[in-house]
Amino acid sequence: MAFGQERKSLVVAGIFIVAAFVLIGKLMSVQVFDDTYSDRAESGSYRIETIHPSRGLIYDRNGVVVVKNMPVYDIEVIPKKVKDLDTLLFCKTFDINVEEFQAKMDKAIKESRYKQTPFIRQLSPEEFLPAQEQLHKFPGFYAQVRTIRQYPYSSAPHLMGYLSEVNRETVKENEYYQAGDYHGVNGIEKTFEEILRGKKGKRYITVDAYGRDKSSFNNGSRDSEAERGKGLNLCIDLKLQTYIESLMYNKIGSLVAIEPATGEILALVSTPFYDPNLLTGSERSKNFSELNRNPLRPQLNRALQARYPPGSTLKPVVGLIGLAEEVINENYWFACKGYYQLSARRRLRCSHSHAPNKNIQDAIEQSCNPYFWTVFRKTIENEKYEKQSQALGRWVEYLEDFGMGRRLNIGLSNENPGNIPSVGYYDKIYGEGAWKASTIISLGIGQGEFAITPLQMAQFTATIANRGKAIAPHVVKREDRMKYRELVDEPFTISAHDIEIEKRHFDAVAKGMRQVVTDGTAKIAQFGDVEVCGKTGTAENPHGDDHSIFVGFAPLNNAEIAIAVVVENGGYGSRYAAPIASLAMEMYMHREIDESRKWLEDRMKDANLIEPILKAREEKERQRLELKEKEGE
Amino acid sequence: MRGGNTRSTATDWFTVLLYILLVIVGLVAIYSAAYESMGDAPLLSLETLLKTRFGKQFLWASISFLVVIFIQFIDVRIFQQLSPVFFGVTILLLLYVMFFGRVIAGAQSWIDLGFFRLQPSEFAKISTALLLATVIARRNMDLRRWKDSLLAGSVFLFPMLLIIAQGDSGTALVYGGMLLILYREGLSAYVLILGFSAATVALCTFYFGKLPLGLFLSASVLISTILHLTYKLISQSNDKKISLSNHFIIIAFAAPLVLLSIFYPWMQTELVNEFSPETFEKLIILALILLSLGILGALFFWKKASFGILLALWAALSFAHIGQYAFDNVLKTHHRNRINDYLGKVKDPQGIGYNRTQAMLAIGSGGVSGKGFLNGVRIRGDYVPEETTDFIFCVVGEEFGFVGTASVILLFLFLLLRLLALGERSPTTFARVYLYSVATIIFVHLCINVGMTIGLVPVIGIPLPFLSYGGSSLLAFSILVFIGIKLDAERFKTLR
Repeated sequence: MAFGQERKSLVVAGIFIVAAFVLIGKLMSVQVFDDTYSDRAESGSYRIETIHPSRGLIYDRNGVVVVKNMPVYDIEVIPKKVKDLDTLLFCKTFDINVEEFQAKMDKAIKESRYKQTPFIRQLSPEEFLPAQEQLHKFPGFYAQVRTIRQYPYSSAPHLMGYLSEVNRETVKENEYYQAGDYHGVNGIEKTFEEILRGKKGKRYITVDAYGRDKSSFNNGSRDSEAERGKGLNLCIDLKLQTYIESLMYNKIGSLVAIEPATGEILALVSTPFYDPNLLTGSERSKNFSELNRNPLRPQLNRALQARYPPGSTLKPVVGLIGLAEEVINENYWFACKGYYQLSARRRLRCSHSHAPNKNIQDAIEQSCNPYFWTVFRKTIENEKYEKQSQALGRWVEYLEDFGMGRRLNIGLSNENPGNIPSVGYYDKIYGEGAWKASTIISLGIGQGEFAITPLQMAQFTATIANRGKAIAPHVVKREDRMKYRELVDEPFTISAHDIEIEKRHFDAVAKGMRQVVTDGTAKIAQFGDVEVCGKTGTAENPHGDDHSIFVGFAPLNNAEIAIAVVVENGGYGSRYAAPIASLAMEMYMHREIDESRKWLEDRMKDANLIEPILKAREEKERQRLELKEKEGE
Repeated sequence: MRGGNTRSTATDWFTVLLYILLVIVGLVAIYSAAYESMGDAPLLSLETLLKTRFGKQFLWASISFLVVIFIQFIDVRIFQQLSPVFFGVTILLLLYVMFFGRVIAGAQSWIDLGFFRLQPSEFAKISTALLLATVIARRNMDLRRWKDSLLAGSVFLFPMLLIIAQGDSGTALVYGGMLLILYREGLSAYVLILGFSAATVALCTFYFGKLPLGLFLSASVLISTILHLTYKLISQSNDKKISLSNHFIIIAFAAPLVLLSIFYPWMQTELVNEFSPETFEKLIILALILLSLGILGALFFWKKASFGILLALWAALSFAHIGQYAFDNVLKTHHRNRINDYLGKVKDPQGIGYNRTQAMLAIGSGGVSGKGFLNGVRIRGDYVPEETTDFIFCVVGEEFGFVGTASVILLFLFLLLRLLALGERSPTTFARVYLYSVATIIFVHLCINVGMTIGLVPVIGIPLPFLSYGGSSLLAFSILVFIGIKLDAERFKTLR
């Protein structure tokens, strides 16, 4: 097969000829036979302009617009098409300096030479409109209208969340987004991103050989309109929300209000909070980092993420479980000697002295610690169960049905599940079966390893107000919730529709909570002739003053509102939490505060619990520095 | 004085004509591509000449014209005698740019002379061709001997490595084409086939990844061993030499096995997930290439050495590893991206694949007869990058259509075949080797440049001879061709 020397020239020539005809063949296929190239090539002489839809509006339960849109203008650039640019004129027109211009251009080129990328962001109409007339002098630069969020009431930042520019990864993963787009990264904006963002439109614009816009391509036959985002109706009562925000101003804490019959969340407040308008517009990134630096962490949604021991507010639930497990009955009474004999050598003191109780209502009213220790101990030492661990397991199951120790999936992404210590937890610490009711007795009054979120407190309160009917709490109105079910995590449910505790037990406990307001620790919570019910609590705080807690609902029967309030470092529950809760309930039910209670409203509004905290912090920091200096010497 | 020759030299005007035609096509295309930046100045005013790309190219064409006339008055013996000097100078220049050169488009291969950026690698082609011719023309050279082939090969291997080090892998490939000359001058065809196989194996490695290809090659080794043993068995049982048709029968049996061994590892790779018709098409093509290489190899090696096939496959196996190593470590990111784009492993027509996509769109939109001179929307709309230099062929494609592109290819083909013919009619080895070098250099440039604009080869930045804008390139190619023409013209003078 090998060729002789003289024939090798023919092989070389043959290679040349074959290669040339391969090229010609491919050219023929590309230029003559393959329509795709010519089609696409013809249509290639257009520019696609993206039309950004305006984002869906967000309404409160009464149809008030909570979140709306404001137009802003981005100047975008296709670096490859920038020609003969009068940089100075450009900088003058858009009020930037040459260094900024160069930095922006470098960044745009790094992104892509051929793609349209943002150059100057978020010019207000006032800034943009004068410059618009000059824009044709800068080939390669285009104006792009976008909308940014606006919050007319500067309210509920944690609930709404905020928008943020998409990063490269998102653009890569999700073909909907292009560089420069914004998407919801938190709160409602994140959960309902897909319906709020709407659908982008496209406009095909024929460009001439110089890249200048000429006319719409194909008479606009391929254009598509932008579809504005769909609106969303929240359960929030904006008036209530802003009122509570004003009450809780200058305090650290949170409040959750639920309509017990529907599970609709009426208010979700976490303080300190911030004006959501800070996180829109061109100052966004500056404000964002400032918020992040704030030691009080205003960005934290304490209503869903902070965990507190519920303290005495748990007592109604502890009593209920005792009743359900039949270790006590409604008329169980207990002579409080002012202490509780835990074991032969250990006594727990009751926090206060009070009259002897006749039944569970009295015990709730008096918030008698020994009573509930006894109930808890009886529950755990219940002979119905072979082992105490089984009894505790059952006890925890009840709590879970009340919504504790698990995410309730109200429609926001950052819920903390809280913590109810499980059997396994104690087995691990003390050894399997090596613990007894007396070891874990503090659970009986909602302390110890117990930690739940304000949302979970509101949920168990709503469940008591409902007399055992557990309804999943939500931030979005039912119709929207059903429509966009796939966007939200599976909501909280319990195995049975009702908690396995008889209604009469709930009635007894609710009556006890009513007594708390009429005769007990929360007299301050009474307003008008409404049968307000509640329970105060104090969460021990090793770092400073105790946290003031109140859970309550009103009225006693067919409750319209259930509420849980935590005011950090607020002392007793009756000091801040109960008044705030009662004012909130009054505002919701009566839409105004009675003259006779204006003094209380003023006192709550004026109270500043943050200043002492900041001062203490400063002091601590000062001492630390001094100590450091001394050590340095 | 030598010979007292009064006979006028026999310049081959046909070659000159082809050269002039190609340069004119280039000027027309550059004029069109640069049209919008021409402004209102008259066509041949000083301003146009000095400021615009068309004007500069026109100036360079004129300079080249003067230089090639000058060449016709040089004593040709100088080329042969001074070739080591030329070679040395260009190597020094290459070394210089390696350390002090200007980086343009990822390659450090320019010397900035102020008015003109010199690209030594363009001129290195000439001196390499001259030295190669000189070396092979030495009286005691016989390229049928491995040692002599190796010596000749090292002449172009050296600048090739230097140019790779500059990051200009495209130009380096041009020297690879010089293997053809060694083949013409006596080197065994196996080397040629091996070279081609190596390139194929390299591409397959990039496409399939090292592991599946390794599996495939291992399977091939196994199969060919079995085949070989079968062959031995048959030839022992039958004294007669096995006829060609018997080989084909054996291969026909082997083919399905070979294909299977390709598809089995392929099925295990992530390619399954991104399965698309194009992937499948490319796969089939690669399989066929491998298969035909196998057949070709079998035909050649069967008679020769008993371990031929085994050796070749093992070589390929190790080459697959070397290839992958080179891909990952020697090539730059943009090279890797382009190869991946070419192989269809990345689909990013707006980013990595932008150049190729836009080039194909421009050419494709030309249709049969093109949009007409100065009517190339895509060229002028600045969709095609580098439209005056590496992608000049797009201008021809869009404005003159298939008629234009095919004509240009044919012009090149005529030129190439003419150069071979000149070489073959030359009485000296020196002239023949030199003319062959000129032809192969132009040939590789043509294949790669046109091939990349129509998606046949990965995007590799090398100019299209005579057409692409660029002084170094035009001048170098002019000198290259006209030294050849001069050598041919002197064919009657040489009395050695």
